[in-house]
Amino acid sequence: MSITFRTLQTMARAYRQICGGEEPWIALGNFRNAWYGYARDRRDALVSEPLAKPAQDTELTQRWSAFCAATVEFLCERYDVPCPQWVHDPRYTLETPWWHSERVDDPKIRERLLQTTPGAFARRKIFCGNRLYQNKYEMSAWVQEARAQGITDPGEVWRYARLKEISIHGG
Amino acid sequence: MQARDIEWHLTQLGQELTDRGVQKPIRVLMIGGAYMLLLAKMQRSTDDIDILWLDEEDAFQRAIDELRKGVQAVAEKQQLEPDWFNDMTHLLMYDVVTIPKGTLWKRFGPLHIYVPPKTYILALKILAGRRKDIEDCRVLLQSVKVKTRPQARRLLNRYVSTAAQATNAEDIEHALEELFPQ
Repeated sequence: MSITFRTLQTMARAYRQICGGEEPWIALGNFRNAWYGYARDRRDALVSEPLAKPAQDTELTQRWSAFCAATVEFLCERYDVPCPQWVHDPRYTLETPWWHSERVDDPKIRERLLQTTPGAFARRKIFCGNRLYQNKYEMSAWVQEARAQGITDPGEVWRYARLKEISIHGG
Repeated sequence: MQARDIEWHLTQLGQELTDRGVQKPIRVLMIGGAYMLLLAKMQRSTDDIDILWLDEEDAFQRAIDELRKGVQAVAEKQQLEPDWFNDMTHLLMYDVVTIPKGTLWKRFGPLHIYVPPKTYILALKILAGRRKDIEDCRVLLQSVKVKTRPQARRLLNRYVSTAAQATNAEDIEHALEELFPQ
């Protein structure tokens, strides 16, 4: 469906919302819904606008600006969308690593995050693993694709969809 | 959507279905972010209301057209995204997870919203295993009796098919590592 009844949730808008106090996963979740759902035919418009620097730049806003830039690079690469230049600005590389785990002291967890984090994030010193933008839009499409191919065993249908997911997202 | 928005939009949807002459109850199970806001009292918002169907296949087929029209009408009136009331998860999961009957939470005209136990949502979120799902798990774990990795495994065995667990084995293991340090 390509219609929308509300303002397009661009990455620039998502970042403005994060800086304004919105829960980051909600702002980014709404961006994800636009990317995979109602605005998937306008992906370049979702990422072209650079992030606006907030009035008060804090560690939190710096971290999430880097995360937003990494997201754009990651998604553009995977879905063959021209990547905007703004994502390569050095200010979107963190000075100190940002580990997405409450158990960062556990060497096993660190090792896994190092191994699985996609390059666009790791280059910016964000270590978040590879389960970031998995989504029900693609998964349900792949499930239907499997069924259309005559796969009937539920476990095999699920496996087909997961392999597709892994091929795109890495996990 | 905040918690109050969800109830308001569901009220609108119930009214829309009534206006369209829908009389037979449409029974759905609310999961996902909407559940976390309304039942786990998590202080955040959600981008959509995820549901699983509780009705039998033929009743579901009869209801789905009117429901989707109603959802679209509310989206237009309330300036919501078209998929604000989202049954995609059902298409994805119905044959790899057990769908519990749930308990009736609220009725909005013919739309009857049921909710599962918190342990069910916990199992689904361990299976999903994304960063925000792990955060939701931490909130759920504060109010359920599941305290150990074996207990969490038993929960998965209860609700998630063996095939889905096998396919997601690595991700499940990572989620359990995060939630239950050994």
